[in-house]
Amino acid sequence: MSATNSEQINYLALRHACGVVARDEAPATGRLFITGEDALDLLNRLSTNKLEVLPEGQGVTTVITNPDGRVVDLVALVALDNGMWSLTSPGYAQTVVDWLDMYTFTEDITVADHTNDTFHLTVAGPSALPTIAACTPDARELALDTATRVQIANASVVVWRRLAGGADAYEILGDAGQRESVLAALVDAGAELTSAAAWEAHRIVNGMPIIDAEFGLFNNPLEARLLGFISETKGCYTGQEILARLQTYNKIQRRLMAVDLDSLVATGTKLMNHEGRNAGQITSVTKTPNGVKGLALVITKFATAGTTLTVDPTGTATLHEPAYALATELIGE
Amino acid sequence: MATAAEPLTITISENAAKHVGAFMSSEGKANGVLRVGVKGGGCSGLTYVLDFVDNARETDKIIVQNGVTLAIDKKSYIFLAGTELDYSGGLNGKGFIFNNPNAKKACGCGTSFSV
Repeated sequence: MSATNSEQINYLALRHACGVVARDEAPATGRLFITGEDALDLLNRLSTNKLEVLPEGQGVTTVITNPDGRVVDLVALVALDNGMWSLTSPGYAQTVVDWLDMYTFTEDITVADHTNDTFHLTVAGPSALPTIAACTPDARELALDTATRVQIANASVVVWRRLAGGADAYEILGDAGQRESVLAALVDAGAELTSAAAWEAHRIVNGMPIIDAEFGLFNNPLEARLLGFISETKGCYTGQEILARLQTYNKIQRRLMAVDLDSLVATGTKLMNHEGRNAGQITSVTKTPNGVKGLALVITKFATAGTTLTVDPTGTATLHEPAYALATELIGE
Repeated sequence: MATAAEPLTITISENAAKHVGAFMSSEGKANGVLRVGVKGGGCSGLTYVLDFVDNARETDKIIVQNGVTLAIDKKSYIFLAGTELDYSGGLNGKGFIFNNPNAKKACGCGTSFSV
């Protein structure tokens, strides 16, 4: 995030009031609707979280892993409308569609990509619920990772409470044609229309990893601290044996950490220990009113909160535990 | 002159066929069909499927060998072409074994594979 006034206001709204973010603008999330008697079972076999039962209105986040235990995508699912709505990482809708198709043999499953005919707004911040409540008579407090349909501006929309951008938030999904009226209603109710840069800053400060930065086919979900979305009791799924071995023998090579930096640096910048040895690299970075914050994949033996590493060539990075990892690991217990 | 390669098929060993026959009889499906297939999942990504069914589907590939009728869905066939279904009995036996030339890796318990 740069230091323009409007972006600072956007960021502060997300932290202390209420911001609404257009998640359907670049980089836009993927939105899939998955149906079929075997859909949940197939997803259970192909991803890390336990998905044996998903009651109507219940959401869950899971990691699709390949046979090497690497991350194909982190997807959120919620059972609604006699199927499951699924949010993929930005730009990954087709990847997930193709992945599920590759592993569908005789199963009854249909995966429809609605990325282009739906909208996705995220309402975040401590005043998110009262802001939504001001837009609809149907508002009620939802438990985390549950969803329902409500009317906003005469549109039927999905409201789904979950950890988005690394913190408590409400995803709002609906038909693309009704986007502007729903967005206008939320802004009229007091939500600050928030830029992608402010959302990115919010995400980084919350310590939430994203694809292609903190995880992807280049690593496994344990390095990205996605442990809260990995069931250790569900039995076999694709990549499970490798992940179990990494955990059992403490062979996780890197660990996601939050970092306080003394200046803006490029992502990919190397971290070194006091002897000049490679200690990892910066994966995300942002400037906030409270200083420069980032995320880093740090070689496990250096990944301890309170440790200060050198940022190539002369800066410093002080490590902290990422809040999102701590919160989701608790959910996973 | 180049000759066309023999198409790969799926075979069942005499020993496996004998056990399939015994299991099918004990389940009251002596005239049934052995469905052989693959499904997504298992540590290595693809898991073998064996099931006794009453009838094959219209779209199945049908192979009759050693007195057993095998039904394989078309997509599974791609991953199983060239496979021999065998049986390993006795105290240390593993039961039915897929000797699959397409499998590049298998998980520790041997029930899943990747290509």
